Amino acid sequence: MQGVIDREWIVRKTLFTLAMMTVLGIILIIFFVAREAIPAFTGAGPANLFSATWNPKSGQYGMLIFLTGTLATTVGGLLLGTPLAIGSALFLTQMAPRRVRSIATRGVELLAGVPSIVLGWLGFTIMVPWIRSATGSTGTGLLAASIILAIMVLPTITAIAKDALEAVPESHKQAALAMGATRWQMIRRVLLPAAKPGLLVAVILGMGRAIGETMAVALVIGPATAFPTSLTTPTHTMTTKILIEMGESTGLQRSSLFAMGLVLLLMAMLLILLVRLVTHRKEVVR
Amino acid sequence: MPENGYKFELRDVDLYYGDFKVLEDVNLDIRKCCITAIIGPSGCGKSSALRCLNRMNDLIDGSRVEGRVTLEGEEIYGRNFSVVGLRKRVGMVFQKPNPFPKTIYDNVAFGPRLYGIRDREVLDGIVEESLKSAALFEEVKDKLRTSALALSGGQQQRLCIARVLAVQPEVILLDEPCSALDPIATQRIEDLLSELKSRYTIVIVTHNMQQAARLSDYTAFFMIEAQGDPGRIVEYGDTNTIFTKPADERTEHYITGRFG
Repeated sequence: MQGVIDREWIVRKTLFTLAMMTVLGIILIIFFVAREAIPAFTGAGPANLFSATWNPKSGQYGMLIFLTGTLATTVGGLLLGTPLAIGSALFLTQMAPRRVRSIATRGVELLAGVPSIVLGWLGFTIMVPWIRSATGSTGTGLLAASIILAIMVLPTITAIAKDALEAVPESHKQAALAMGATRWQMIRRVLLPAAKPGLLVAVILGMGRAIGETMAVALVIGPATAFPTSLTTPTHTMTTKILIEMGESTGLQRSSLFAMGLVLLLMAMLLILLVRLVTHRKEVVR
Repeated sequence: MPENGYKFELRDVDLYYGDFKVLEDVNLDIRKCCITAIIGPSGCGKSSALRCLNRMNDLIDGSRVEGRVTLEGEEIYGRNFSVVGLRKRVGMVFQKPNPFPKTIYDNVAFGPRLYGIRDREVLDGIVEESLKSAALFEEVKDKLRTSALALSGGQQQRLCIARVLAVQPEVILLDEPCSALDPIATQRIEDLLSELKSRYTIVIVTHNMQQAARLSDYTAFFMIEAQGDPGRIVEYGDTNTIFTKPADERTEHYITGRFG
């Protein structure tokens, strides 16, 4: 009897410790990133950090170009990826015959497993030349990055949207169809509104993926430290700028890169908070 | 097709789900402006029979109907017959109240909007009229813009009836509409149906023998001989006869509660 209790005590404490390590991990990450970023805020100052000029030689560490790049590629990726993903989820849950559904679902899962460097490499060697010959530009930039990001957010959004659509009770769908709704009317007027919180979560999590993506974007974005003047001019995102300069930077420049990392971290946390808000509201309404 | 007082006529109807025969040789004439009850033990195919009438069985993979089902003389499984059009004429209320997660108003306005009615005043009128017909208006008139899911089960079921009435169907099918409700809510639904039958043809599936006896004008008794057999109609006739002097002893056994 004593032995059983002891074993349970050990399991409980072990699991508790493991859980605490996860919490400790995130706290340490925030702590170290913030510690490295602080010199940039005190040394260069927030006005400098959030300005539009990045020129370490003259002491200018503005991240506005990169922030713009990150937001533009994320929005672009979502604009292209979301309709495709929700369309796929609708097809998989509402229309596909059972066999097609299971095959296509595996396909979506596999897409999630494609390493981003592979996608970026394919984008660089195949897609960028297409865009170049079609537009007469360098081919790199927001358009190429958005297309790559759309492919990358596709499996995330599709999988979560699929769950959200499947969670809508069959009885709602039956009620609509029994009223004489066509399948499309049922989808538009009942299914999508009922699944809306879940679909929103899918898009937000896709956004998280797009904001943080580095390798694939780095290969097709340019790069260039300049605001994009069109969809096909080279530019930078925050992640690609950090990637390219982190190896050879010191002092305030290095600290400014950490400040960008901190902004990314805060954006990611904001998104998670948003997911919490959306799902919480759903529980109240249901 | 001559006027004969029948809304639906079913002739030698067999229903299959894949290879499984659910119903066999169903012959049933459903009179206009009457309440027809379908009774029988669990699993005898009564709900499936009901769903033949608005083709909701179509939603089940591999379902197939043989024989003839006509609505006002038109074959509803005919090649050119519109399922969507059929369901506009034949409304359905389900076992478990299933209002949409929308406001009370939007639930009732769902059908009319589906058919393209946009005018606010017209919609307001339809919503009020339908809720009054469903004996729900007085209880909800001050909270039309609140969620339908906040209503009680009985209110939700009457809302579902109002939702069906809003599109002015010819027939209302009800699939054990009171099985999830308490006796008082059940009573209200029954009163409501008795009132509605002057204007609508009503077909109700029920487990509740007293309900069939109280409410209906005609009763069809379905049964399966053994597990795995298809459901068949044992007896069909006016409710009084079925409940007082049934012709088939299986009917008598069932209504006196000897099985089922």
